[in-house]
Amino acid sequence: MITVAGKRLEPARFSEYADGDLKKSVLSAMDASSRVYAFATPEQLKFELSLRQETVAAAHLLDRSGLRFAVFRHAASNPAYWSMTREGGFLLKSGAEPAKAILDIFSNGSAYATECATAMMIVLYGALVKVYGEARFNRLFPKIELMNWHHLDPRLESFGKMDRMPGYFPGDRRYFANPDVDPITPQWQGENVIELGGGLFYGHGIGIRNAESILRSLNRNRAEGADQAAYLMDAAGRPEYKRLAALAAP
Amino acid sequence: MNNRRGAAANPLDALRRDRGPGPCRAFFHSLKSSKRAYAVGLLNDPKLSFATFFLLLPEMDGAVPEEELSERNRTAVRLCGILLDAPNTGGGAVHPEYGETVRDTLRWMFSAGAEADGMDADLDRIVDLSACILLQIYRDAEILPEVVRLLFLRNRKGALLHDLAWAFFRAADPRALRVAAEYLLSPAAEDAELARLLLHLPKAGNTTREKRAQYASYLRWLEENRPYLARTGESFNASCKPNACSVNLGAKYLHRKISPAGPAKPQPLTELEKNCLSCFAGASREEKELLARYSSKLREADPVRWNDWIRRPLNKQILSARSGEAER
Repeated sequence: MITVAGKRLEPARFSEYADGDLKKSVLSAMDASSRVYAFATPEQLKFELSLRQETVAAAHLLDRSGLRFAVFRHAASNPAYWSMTREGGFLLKSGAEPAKAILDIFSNGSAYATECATAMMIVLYGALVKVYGEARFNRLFPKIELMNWHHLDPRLESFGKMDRMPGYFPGDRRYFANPDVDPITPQWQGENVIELGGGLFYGHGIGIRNAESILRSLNRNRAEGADQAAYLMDAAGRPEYKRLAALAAP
Repeated sequence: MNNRRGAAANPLDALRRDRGPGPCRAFFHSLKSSKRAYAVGLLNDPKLSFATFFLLLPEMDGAVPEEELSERNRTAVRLCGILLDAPNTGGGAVHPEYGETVRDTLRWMFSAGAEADGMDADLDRIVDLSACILLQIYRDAEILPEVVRLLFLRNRKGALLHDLAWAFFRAADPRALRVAAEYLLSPAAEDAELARLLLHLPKAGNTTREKRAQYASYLRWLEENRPYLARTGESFNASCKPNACSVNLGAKYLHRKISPAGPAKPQPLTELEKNCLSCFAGASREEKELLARYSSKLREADPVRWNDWIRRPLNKQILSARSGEAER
């Protein structure tokens, strides 16, 4: 169930979105849940729906960007905007415009290479540029370091944590774990993905696929004699939508 | 760790350590033309550090036939090829035959390679993967203190610790947790910060008293829960705040020791244990923690009383646990 300012949001109100619209499918899933999704204002709800939609759109865009997969030691970035850290992360150069630097990864993907976790942060930042607009994004995020789940902006930290949720929606960051991974290829220890809806997930290096197909790939990269199969964790990383919505206020 | 100094040190090691990789490579290059047998002898010296051996691999290529190398060195050449090629295989990596020779060679590659950490990115990768294989395939927990030491060294340098940290989380070994806990006391803020991250502890103050308090509290927790720790499978790949292991409250309640690595199959539960666990499953999280803590302490202090207590209905157990806890 969804409540806004303490009152139930009737499903009839969802009609402002077309059937098949991602926002409508998120609303319907929240409404069908036994858990109450409470929003203080209509703007809070709209912000979450917009950010979820833009996260899914950014995942599709990054998938088509040509961004290459590489282990951190072979990571690469466009030196016009980013300097490489010793860990294999991308550090926004002083003087570089944050929004342009993020958007460059989407438009100039082949200049970049990284692992799957960093790609999740790129997706989130790409979505935030869209929902805030470039000028506000630049004010809000003047310093960016993209490296796995390290050095996160405290306002985005919950996206890097995995918590069990009563339900999962498009725009969530999920994780396919591969506990018995082949130690020669630890990059197959798990796949960070964005839930796209319709049973599909985007994972960097693995592309857009359904769960079964991702699990097959992970299971092919297990240690000899492995007895535990890869699985989709019952958890998600989710940005603090309400906190981020407050930053969108005029 | 290999011997680093001293009269018996291999001249190639001494040269690399004292003057750097370039002069070492140049010396070997001239040596292999002028005194080939001596050069091969230096390579096959059991005291040679893997870091030096790795540095000279390109010099050996085509100049020193494999059959002239010792068994350890031949294995190392093959392993280096496999490990460096693995990221490019897109899955389906080639595997060595995991026997004793490979294990001993991996130990040499890990400990003697770690000595020159940061000298070469590919060497660092080989060191990390050697640790991963030793821990996952051979369950070689002896290397864990060195893995932890290397993690903290890398952290101080701002270098990559992703795969080593995975090895640490994968092992979830109480010995490694204890070694990491020592760094809570470090005067270097970045050491204490990484220790908290690896041990899944909250931020604490940086005064000596606060650090000691957190360290002592963690060791008490580890001592109490050590037999009941279960690996979670979390790592820095999945989360910014991974938890290497969690307490299996059911096991603690039943006083059933488990191994986080879990290769040995546990004994099947008795009927009494099954009944107890079934009731325990219906308790709230807070009640489970209370029951597990009380049960574990009572069992240690008075097995006869525990034997009576565990047979009582759950609500009675909770009551006595609450009053028992209050008395403490």
